[in-house]
Amino acid sequence: MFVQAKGIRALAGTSPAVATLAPRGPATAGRIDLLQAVPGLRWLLTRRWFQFAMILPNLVLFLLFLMAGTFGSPVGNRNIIIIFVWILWWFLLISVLVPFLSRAWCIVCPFPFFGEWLQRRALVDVRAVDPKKGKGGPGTIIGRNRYFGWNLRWPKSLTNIWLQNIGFLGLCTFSALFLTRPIVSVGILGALFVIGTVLAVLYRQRAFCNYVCPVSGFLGLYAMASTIEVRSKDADVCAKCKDKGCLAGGERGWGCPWLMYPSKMDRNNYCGLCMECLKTCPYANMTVNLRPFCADTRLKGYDEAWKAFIMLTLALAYSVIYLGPWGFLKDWANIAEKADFTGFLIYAASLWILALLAFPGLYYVAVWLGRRLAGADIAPAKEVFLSFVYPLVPLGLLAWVAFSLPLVLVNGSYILMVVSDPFGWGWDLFGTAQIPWTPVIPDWTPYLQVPLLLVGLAYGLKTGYGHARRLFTARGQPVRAFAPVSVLLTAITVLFLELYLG
Amino acid sequence: MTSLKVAEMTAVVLTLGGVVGATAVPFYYETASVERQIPPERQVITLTGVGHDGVWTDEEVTGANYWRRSFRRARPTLEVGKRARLRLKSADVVHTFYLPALGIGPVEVYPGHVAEIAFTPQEEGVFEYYCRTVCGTPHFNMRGVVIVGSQDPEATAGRRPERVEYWREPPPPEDASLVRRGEWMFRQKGCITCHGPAGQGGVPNWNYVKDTVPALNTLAQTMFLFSPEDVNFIVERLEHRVPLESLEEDAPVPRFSVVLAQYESIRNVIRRGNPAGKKDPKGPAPPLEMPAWESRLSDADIDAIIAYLLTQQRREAAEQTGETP
Ligand code: HEC
Ligand SMILES: [Cu+2]
Repeated sequence: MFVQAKGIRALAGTSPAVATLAPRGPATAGRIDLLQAVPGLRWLLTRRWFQFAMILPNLVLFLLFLMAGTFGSPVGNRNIIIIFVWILWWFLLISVLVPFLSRAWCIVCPFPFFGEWLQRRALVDVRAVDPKKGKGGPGTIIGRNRYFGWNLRWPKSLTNIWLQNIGFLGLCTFSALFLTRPIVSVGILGALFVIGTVLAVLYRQRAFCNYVCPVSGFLGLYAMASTIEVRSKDADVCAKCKDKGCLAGGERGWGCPWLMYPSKMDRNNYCGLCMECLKTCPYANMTVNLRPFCADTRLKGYDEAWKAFIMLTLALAYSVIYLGPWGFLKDWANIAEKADFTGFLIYAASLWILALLAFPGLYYVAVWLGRRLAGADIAPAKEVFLSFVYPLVPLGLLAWVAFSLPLVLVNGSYILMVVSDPFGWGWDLFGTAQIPWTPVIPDWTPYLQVPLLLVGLAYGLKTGYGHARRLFTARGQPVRAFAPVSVLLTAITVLFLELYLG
Repeated sequence: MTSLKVAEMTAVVLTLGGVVGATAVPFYYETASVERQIPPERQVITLTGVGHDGVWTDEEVTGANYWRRSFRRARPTLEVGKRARLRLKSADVVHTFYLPALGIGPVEVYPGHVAEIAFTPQEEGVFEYYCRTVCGTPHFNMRGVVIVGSQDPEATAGRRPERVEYWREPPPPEDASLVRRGEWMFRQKGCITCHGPAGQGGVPNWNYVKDTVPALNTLAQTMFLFSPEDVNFIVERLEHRVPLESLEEDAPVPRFSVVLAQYESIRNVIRRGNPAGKKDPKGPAPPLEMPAWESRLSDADIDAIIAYLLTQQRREAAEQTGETP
């Protein structure tokens, strides 16, 4: 039943003609097939041990962080858990991994490790249904794989990223607490391990990653902008495929743990890059492409739109609190040390109202105004709204990068210090423990921040206008429809610029 | 299939190894590196400064226990004539360890760094250690004793004021009198730890010209207020926030200009602090110095404390003469 991969290669060569004809087939324009371009990459990614080998070092590292947070120094900037997780990791995530490597974090993420192990009872192995034995035997059969645990279906009403939205906003409200107290970070990371494991035992596959993990939400949203993607090469091959290994799994791999249908995948949002579909596809028709920035441009629901609102609001709020000149705001947010509960409540309430109501409301008005200006409106209101919210993806992503840059520069010396003394116990492993704290905020920081924000704005305007042209076809309509939103986007950018330059 | 089985087994072993390694290696490394540095014949004391408790503790302070418990005040015992090594750590901010009687310090102790000092205690005795960096309100409590030899620490305990967690004392009600507020302030800010309960003095201060920190219950005399009426008059004015300067002309208190000058100079000592003079100029600096309170006490707070101290005098005088105040 499995066709030799070699024989199929010729057939699987990318053909743009087929791709454009296919109704919902993934676009191949401007793509470079990395598995063809980089020798050995396909071999590496299709090894059964690939993901395990990626996670293990990271798992050990995160366990060490937990140990350091629990037994190491209570002083935040002397403890590797704070410096590495919230400063270095965050910076790498937002400014390197997400923009360039999509959800590459999910390849190495340790949190679902134990849960998936329990579900699969295998770390590198695959449990396929044995055709001789049939459906008997232990575990639950889903597709052509066997799983353990309860394998419940995730509730329909929660099949979205609202939990992630609220979870992330909730966590971020208490940022000052976990930025200063290692033990709080231990609580958060520990909870991610525990919840990830428990949900994996109860529910099917990566329910935790898809619907609960607070990090996953923004990874998904901003991965839309990323310059790599996992896609099928030839829609024709998939159309004719009877095996559907990418969905159902088989002897060579597990069906997509993220419950996607990889051959039809046209967005990065919920692809954790686990590379199972590369292994299961009998035609070697799944690949990893290099692609232009901001190639996925369609938001599919209000949950995703609100994620975009929340993320941009947080970037703005943090810039104001941590980089702005208003000390009292910092005190209000700093519930850990200042314990000014009224102040904290004011801060928390304004943050939530801004992120969930005020900013989306303002945006809604801008979109509505655009539709009025454009006159005749054939596209459904929801479609227009979601399309016009998309520009917040590139803008928000680059605003986050611009915000995180000075943080990592200021705390760079701490990074060197805690590498040598991760527990704050007075070790000096690499001779860098005695480096005094030297905050570098070079004069040229704004010269990086300004272009970053402007690139974000440019991509926002470009993609937004692209949507306007798709949705409003009459002469002059797209410009008028998109005008109010583009003014709003520009105003937001100016606000950030003032904060960073002022 | 068999090669997969091998891979699976390897993965399981690696995972278990990783988990065990991550949990055990740090402790192993810590123990090994401390042992490597310190020859076994030494006596080792590890003290960690804890700002929120105002102690140097000999207990282990970790990220997990720091926030939820109080730590024991260290009272290490050492043998005479045996090499000792002191390992000093900080659990939070910069502290400065000082043990003038044994010639140790002042040593700045930064969080994440271990300051190590080797010394040999030469004579028996009970010696007091301190923190010299004002590291928070509980700072003034950061003292304790090192016992050398078979001394009975209780024998000398009477000379030191009891350690109360003064900074945790609840404030008096809003409408409390000035004197009552001053009393609370005197305790809560830590004046009590140096000047003794109710400002009675008697707290020993190593190599200080006057040997003990000055008593403050003589403040009325210092201010040339010799009768209860005079004290009452001043306290009442302070209570009503009347600037004493404005009373120059017709105050009923004798030698009012002297009173005023003394009042000013006392306020200034409290605001700006004063270094404690050395008895032996070549010896170590006295561990207890009058700190500057400018940034921690408002003028009204200072007035409240002064009012309280003035009445302390009166009460004591009243007790002695058997009068009721
Ligand atoms: C760390 C110990 C310490 C603390 C705490 C402290 N003092 Fe003092 N104080 C001293 C010493 C020592 C002197 C004597 C300085 C000198 O020799 O001039 C002094 C002197 C004074 C004097 C001058 C007395 C005189 O006779 O010259 C006043 C008044 C005073 N302190 C008030 C206060 C008040 C009020 C507080 C609390 C807000 C306070 N002190 C807290 C150590 C302390
Ligand atoms: Cu101190």
